[in-house]
Amino acid sequence: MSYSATLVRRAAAVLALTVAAGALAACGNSASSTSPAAGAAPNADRAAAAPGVGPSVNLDECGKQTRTVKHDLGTTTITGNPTRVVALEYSFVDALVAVGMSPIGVADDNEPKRIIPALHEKVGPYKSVGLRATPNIQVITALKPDLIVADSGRHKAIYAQLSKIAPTIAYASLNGNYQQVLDSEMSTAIALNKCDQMKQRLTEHAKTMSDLKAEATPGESRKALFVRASEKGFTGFPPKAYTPGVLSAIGIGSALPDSGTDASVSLTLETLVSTKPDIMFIAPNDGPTLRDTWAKNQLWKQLPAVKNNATYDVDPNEWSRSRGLIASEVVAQEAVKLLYGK
Amino acid sequence: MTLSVGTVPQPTEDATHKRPKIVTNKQRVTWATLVLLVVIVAGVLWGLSIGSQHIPLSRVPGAIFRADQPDQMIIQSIRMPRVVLALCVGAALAVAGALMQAVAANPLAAPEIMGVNAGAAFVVVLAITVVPSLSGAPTILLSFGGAAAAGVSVMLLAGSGRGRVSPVRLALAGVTASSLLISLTQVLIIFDENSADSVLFWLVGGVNFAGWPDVRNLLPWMIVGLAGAFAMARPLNLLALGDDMARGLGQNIERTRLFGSALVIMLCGAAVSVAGPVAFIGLIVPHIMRRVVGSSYTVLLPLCALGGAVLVLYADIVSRYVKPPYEVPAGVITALIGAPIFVYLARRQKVTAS
Amino acid sequence: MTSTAIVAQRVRSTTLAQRHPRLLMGSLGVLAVLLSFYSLSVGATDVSMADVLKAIVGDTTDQAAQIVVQFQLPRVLLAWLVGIALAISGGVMQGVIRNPLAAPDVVGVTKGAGFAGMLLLLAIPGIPVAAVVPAAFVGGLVAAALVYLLAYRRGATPIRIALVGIAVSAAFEAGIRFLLVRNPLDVSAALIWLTGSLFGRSMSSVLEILPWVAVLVPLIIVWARKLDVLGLGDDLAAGLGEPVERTRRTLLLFAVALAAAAVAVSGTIGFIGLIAPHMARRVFGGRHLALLPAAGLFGVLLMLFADMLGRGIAPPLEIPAGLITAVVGGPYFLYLLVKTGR
Repeated sequence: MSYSATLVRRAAAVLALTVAAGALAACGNSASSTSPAAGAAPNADRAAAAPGVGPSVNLDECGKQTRTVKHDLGTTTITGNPTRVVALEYSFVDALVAVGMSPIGVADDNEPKRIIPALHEKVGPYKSVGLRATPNIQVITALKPDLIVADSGRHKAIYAQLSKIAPTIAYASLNGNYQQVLDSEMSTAIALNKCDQMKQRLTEHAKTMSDLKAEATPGESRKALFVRASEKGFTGFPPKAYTPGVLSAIGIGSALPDSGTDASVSLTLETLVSTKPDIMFIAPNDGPTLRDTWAKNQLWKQLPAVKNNATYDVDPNEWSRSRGLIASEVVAQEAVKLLYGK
Repeated sequence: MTLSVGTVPQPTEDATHKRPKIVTNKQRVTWATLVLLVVIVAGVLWGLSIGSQHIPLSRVPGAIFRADQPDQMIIQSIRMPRVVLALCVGAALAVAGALMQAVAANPLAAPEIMGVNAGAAFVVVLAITVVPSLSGAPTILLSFGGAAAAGVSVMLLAGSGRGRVSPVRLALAGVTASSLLISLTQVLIIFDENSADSVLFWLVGGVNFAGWPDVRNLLPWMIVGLAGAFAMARPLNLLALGDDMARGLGQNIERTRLFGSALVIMLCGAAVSVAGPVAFIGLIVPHIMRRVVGSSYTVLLPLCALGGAVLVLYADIVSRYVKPPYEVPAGVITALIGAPIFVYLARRQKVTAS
Repeated sequence: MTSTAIVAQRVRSTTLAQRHPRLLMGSLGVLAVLLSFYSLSVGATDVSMADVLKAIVGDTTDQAAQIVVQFQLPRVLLAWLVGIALAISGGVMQGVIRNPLAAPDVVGVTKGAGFAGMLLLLAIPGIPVAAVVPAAFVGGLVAAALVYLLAYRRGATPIRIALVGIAVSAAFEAGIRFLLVRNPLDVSAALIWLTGSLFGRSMSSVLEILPWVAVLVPLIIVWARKLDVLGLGDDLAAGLGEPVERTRRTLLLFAVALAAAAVAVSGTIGFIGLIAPHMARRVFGGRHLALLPAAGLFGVLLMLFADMLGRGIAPPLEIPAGLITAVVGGPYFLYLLVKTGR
C-alpha cells in the first residue's frame, strides 16, 4: 500500500541522510584537525559577514537553493524559502522576528504573554501548539509547516516525528548559552534562506552591544549575579549560562564561579553571602518568594549588592525564558539602564 | 492531654509483666540517652562550623551569643536556625512514626509509607503552582490538610479502625495512595515549569533554606505534638497489648487512636510544610530505638525524638559535603540510609496470612 | 479429587458473566474496537470519522487521514498493547502474590524501570532516546529480580515479595528524586516520561512492545489454570503436584517482563495493573482463564480512555495519560479498599 511504500522510502532517505551526515562529520573533523591554517582565512571573512557567530555554523550554505543545515540532532536539507514556520521555543520566535518573519505556530505554553513585548508587536497571529515540553504534534501537522525549529534537548524524543511533518532543525535553547543562541539564530536564518538579513541584523546586534558596553563604566569591576527566585528556591546562573553571557558581553562579570556542567545552581543564603554579588538581577516568580523571607535577614542587608542599592527585579520572561538575539538586546539595554541610568 | 487509664485499679504493672513484649532496660535507656545527647551536641557544633564560608570551630561558641561580625551573623542567622530546624524536624517525624506504628498496631506504619508526607507535599506544591499568592502560615495549614486527608483515608480504608490490619495490607494501601499523590505532584510540576527546579529540591526534603521564621512556624506545633505524644505513652502501651486486652483494662481505644492520629498529622504536616517530605525518618528511627531500649512508649517516644533529631542533623551535615560549595537536600542522605533499612525490615516481617 | 475440581469448588461461579463469558467478553472486545475508532478521531484538530475510515482503507491523500495514520494510529495501537501488558501483568501478580492489591508497582518493576530510564535520560545527556527503552526494560527486570532475591528465605512467600517490593520501590523512588535534583534543567522531558504518556510515540514504540505481548500473553493464558491452583495456597497446590516455587517464579517472570516492556515504552502509567484485574474479577469471577483476557480488555479500555481524554480535554495541551489513570484509578482503588476491608 502507499503508506508502507512511503515508509520504506522515508526509511531509505533517513538512512542515506544518516550515512551522509556521518561522512560529513568525519570529513569535517579531518579537515579541521589536519589543516588548521586552511580554516583561518574564511574565518576572518566570516567575522565580517556574521559577527558573533561561532565557526560551527556553515555560512557557505547561504543563498543556495538547496541548503544543508547542520544542527544538534543531525543535518537537514531545506529547499526553497520556508514561509510556514513552527517555533517550539521562544528563542526561535526571536530568530524569525530578527529576519522580519513571523511564525505560524508557537509552543507558547498557552500563555501568549510569555512572548516578550519586543517580539510580540512583530509577531503576527499564530496558533499555539501547546506546552514547550509537549507540543501538540497533531496541531503542528495541521498547520502544514515547511520548517520546524525545535529544542535539541526537550524535543529530542519527538524529533523523528517532527521530521516526518516538515524539515526540522534543532538547537539548544533551554540549555543554550549566549553563543549557542547566536549561532542558532544564524543557522535558522540559513534554513530560512534569510542569510543577508540575519548578517545585517547580527552586525546591528554587535554594534548595539558594543554601544551598550561603551555606556557602561569603563573597567567595570562589579560582579553581577542573575537569579530566579521562587517560593522554595533561589536559583543562580553560573557564567556559562545564557543571561550571564549576555551581561558579560556588555562588560559585566559574573559573581558565581564557573561550576562545570551545571546549568544552574541552587543557592542558600549562606552560599549567596559567600558569593558576594555586587549587583543582583532577580527574576521573581509570581507570589511570595524566598527572597521576601531572606530580605528580613541582617546578612541579606550586608550583601554588597543590597548595601549599594544594586538589586533589581527583572522580568523572568525577558531575562530568562526568551533566549535570543532581540531578547539579549532587551536584557543588555535594561541592565545598562538599571545600572547606569542611561 | 490526660488520656491515662482512669478507671483501671492497678493498670500497667501486671500487664507489663504478663507480656514480655514491653521490656525496658533502665541502664540501656540511660546510656542511649547520654550517647544521643553527646552526639547531638557534637553534631550541633559541627553543623554550626561548616558551610560555604569557612569559620573556625573556635569562633563558634562565641557566635551563639554575639552577632557583631559577619561570620558570627552567619552562624546566628543561617546555621543556627538550620541546625535547630534539623533537630525539630527529625524529632517530629520520628515521634510521628512511632505514634503511627502504635496507633495502627503495625510495624510498617510510617508517615512516608502511609501517604501522609506525600499528601502534605502534594497540597503544598498545589498551592505553590496554582495559587502562588498563598504562603507563609497558610502553607502549614494546607500541609495539615493534605497530611490529614491522605493519612486518614489510608488508615481508615486499610481498616485500622477495625482492629489490627496486616502490615502488607496497610503498606500496599499506603504505597498506592502515595504513588497517586506523587503522580499528581509530578504533573503539577510539568505544567508549571517555572518552579520545577526549586520544587523538586524541596520535594526531596531538607533544611537547606531554613531561617528562624521556619523554626517559629514549626515550634508551637512540634511542642504540642511532642508533649501530647509523651502524655499518651501509657495508653499507647496498653494499646500495644492488643485491642481486647486494652479494652478490658478500661482503655478507650478509639479515643487513643483518634488523638494519636491527630498528633501524627500535626507533627508530619508541620514538619513537611517547613522542610519537605524528608524520607524514612518516621520508619527507621522507631525501629532502631525499639531495638536499643525496648518497646515501652514511655521511654521509646522521647528517645525517638532524640534519634530522629540526630539522623536529620547528621544527614544535613553530610549533605553539605556532597557538592560544595552548593548543597543537596538532606532527604537524599536519609533515603540512602533509610531505603536499605526499610528493605531489611520488610524482609524480616513475620509472615502471617493477610 | 483433581485439581480442576478443587479449583471449581473454590471459585464461586454465580455471575451472569460466568454463564455467558464468551458473549460478554465479545461485547467488551467490540466496545474496545469501537472506542479505538472513535479515539482515532479525537484530538486538537478536526478529524472526522469519514477521515478515519478513509485512512483505514489506505487512502492517505488528504491531511486528516495522514494525521490519523501517522500520529493517532500508533498511539491507539500502543494503548492496546500497553493496556493488555499492564493489566495481564497485574492479574498474574495478584494471582501469584495472592493479594488483591498487588500490581506491577508493588514488585518494584515500575520504579526500577523508571530509575533506569531517568538515569539514562538525565545522567548521560547525549544518549539517543531509543536507548531508554531497553534500559528501562532491563531496569524493571533487575528491580524485580532484586525483590525476589531479597524476599527469598527458604522460598519467597507472596507477602514477603509484596513487602520487599514496596521497600525496593521506595529505594528506587529515592534514587529518582536524587537524579531529579541533580539535573534541574533537563527534568521536564524526564518528568513527562516518568508520569507516563503516549505523547509523541510512533510505530517504532509499537514494534518495541509488540513481540513481548505477542509471546508472553499467550504463554500466560496457557498457564492460567496454574494460577488457579496457586490460589489454593502453597500446601494444597503442592499437594496437587504443582511445583509451587518454580511455577510462581516463572509466572512472575512473565508478568514482570510484560510490565517492564510496557513501562519502557510508555513510562510509568499507574493503576491499570491494579484495577483492570479487579474489574475483570468482579464481572467474570476468579477463574484466570476468563479473568486474564477480560483484564486485558479492561486494560485496553482504560488506556484508550486515558489517552483519548488526555488529547481531547484541553487541546492543544496534552495531559499525560498516567495522570488520568491515576485520577480515575485512585478513587476506584480507595473504593476497593473499603469494600475488601469488610
